[in-house]
Amino acid sequence: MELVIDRLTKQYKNKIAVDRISLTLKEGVYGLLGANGSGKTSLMRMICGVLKPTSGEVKFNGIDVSEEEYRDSLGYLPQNFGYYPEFSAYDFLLYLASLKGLTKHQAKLKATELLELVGLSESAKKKIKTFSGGMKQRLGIAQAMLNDPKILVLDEPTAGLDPNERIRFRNLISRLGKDKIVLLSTHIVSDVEYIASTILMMKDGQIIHKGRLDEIIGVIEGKVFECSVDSKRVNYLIDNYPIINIREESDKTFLRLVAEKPPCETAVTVPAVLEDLYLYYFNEGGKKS
Amino acid sequence: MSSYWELVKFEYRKVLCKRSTIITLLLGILLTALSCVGPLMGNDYINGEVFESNYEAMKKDREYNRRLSGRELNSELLSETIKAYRHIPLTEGQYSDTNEYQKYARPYSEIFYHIRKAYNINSLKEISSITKENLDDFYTIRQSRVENNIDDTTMSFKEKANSIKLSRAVKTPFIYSYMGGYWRFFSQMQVTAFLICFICSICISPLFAGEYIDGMDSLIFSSKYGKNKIIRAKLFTGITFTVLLSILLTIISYVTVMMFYGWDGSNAPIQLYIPLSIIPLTLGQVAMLYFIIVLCGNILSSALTMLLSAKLKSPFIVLVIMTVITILPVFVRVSEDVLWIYHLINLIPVKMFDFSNIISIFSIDLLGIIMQPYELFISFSIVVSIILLPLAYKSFKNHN
Repeated sequence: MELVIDRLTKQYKNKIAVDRISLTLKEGVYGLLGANGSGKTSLMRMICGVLKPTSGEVKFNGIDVSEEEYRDSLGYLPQNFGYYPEFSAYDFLLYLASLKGLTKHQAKLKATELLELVGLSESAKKKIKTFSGGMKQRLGIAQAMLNDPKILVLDEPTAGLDPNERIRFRNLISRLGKDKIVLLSTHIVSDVEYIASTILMMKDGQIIHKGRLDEIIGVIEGKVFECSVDSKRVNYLIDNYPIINIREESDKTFLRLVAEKPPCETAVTVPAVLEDLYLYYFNEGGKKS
Repeated sequence: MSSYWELVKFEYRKVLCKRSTIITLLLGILLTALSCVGPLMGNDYINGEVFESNYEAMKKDREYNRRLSGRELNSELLSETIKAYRHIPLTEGQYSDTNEYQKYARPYSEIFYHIRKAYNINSLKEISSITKENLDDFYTIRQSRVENNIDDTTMSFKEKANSIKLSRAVKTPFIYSYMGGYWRFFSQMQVTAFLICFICSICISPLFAGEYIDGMDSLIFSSKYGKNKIIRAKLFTGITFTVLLSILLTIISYVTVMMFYGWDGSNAPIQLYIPLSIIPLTLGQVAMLYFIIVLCGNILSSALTMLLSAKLKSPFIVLVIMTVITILPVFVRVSEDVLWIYHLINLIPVKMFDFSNIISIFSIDLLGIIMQPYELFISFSIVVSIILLPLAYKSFKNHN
């Protein structure tokens, strides 16, 4: 099972959203991290055949993205997915099941099973317009899995979910990654940290890092510092270093930041986490030391 | 194939579960039924006083005309009519306000209409100029009037020859029949056709554009049948919805009108309704033809709506454009002097719905093929719809 993305490019009038990305994805969970406008959604939409690339190609086991057979292997949860307000959750799934080529019998079984899985069994017959944001998101996740896809593309799947739902959903995705290619994008770094076997970092339309969590964090290992400084020093550090965390303490200010060498006498190096790397790259203004 | 019908079922559900669709359909049915009986409401006034209600007038005229039904339109009936009309005093004002008209002439008013048309009578005074010989030659004089009318047009020689040939195929003598139901049905169908066109625009405009607005396009395009079967299902839904609505509102119009006015006249020639018509068809056949043209025109309008719906991002913009296309041509009047422009304008669906454009004296030479306007309307609607539907398919499929 192999999803090959070859020199994939999307150019809008004077902006390159995705810039010659080449990737080969196999079974596993891939976490796509990037700031707003980095090209994540454009990349995902092209992988799903929703957006036509300017150049390049996407193939799954040799089948082109434009073919029906490719879409038969695909499950997609868009960032702001739509729904029919007058449809019940159950009918919505039945409709998408027929769009995905399931027979009526299969559709009924699968819809019931997935509603149970995402905890919407009791609301199955309720109109979607009465659903909360989290319930709609869970329904979106259910529809993406209707055809038991080999490629599962999830754009911000945990947005709108409460902490319990998020954890439940993270576990579900982790399990799916065993025999599927799961590509998910999120702003919630900890989600990626917990479930992604491979992390893809995207910036300005390009993949700037790809690897396991420990590999990717290696870039800033030994460069993450914590210190408590007085108010005079705080402004200097904020202006000159990518700040990961600021906390006001009784008479001082606690800072967590990224720097090539200790930024002040009291600074101590601490183990880096993915969020440090994320903020290091996507900090406002991109202030890398 | 079963998944295709399942998708069609869901498309219908999407259309029909919208509140706007339900309200539009109910209003459409109500307006159709009301407009059928609208002319029966109110009164007829003579000298500012109520003479009779419109409903009573219809019943009275129906009774008079039914008495004449089955009689041949010949010199005997024409003489009787002229004799009855001679009772009317030649005074100022409307002759229909006189007692003599009500007493003697009104029962023959339908026959008098034929006399006026055939002998080119513009005022009551002129009836004295009609001789016994003229009455005996009614069908010859009528035919000569028809051919003069054809000759006065700017049609080509070939077109005129075809219209004349067609007019000579009209079977004479005419057997008179009461046809109030058909008379009303032909007037009503233009309103009904307009309503069908408008309702279809409202209900079909979200078929594709609604998916963009609902944010469902991504889910559809990434699904197995999202770029083929579902588009075919949508197009099928749009067309069948139009067909079913056309049938429904036509039946409502036909049944409502006939229930009030009477079912008589389906086998009578169209010439009883339009005396100088060149079309050799019965009223029943023309009613069917009218329905087919309304159906084809509405299919064309729906095909255009679906193309716009697939191309544009909002059903509202589609609706605005379709409303302009539906309403604006009603106010456009084109001279018959430049026939190609006249025929071209008449190909706009709402223009096709005008009964006078369907049953006209024109023949059309289209690249060597001579046809009647109604044949052109039907062929044009079918051909253009066949062109528009794949374009709508392609537009939705390639939507980014």
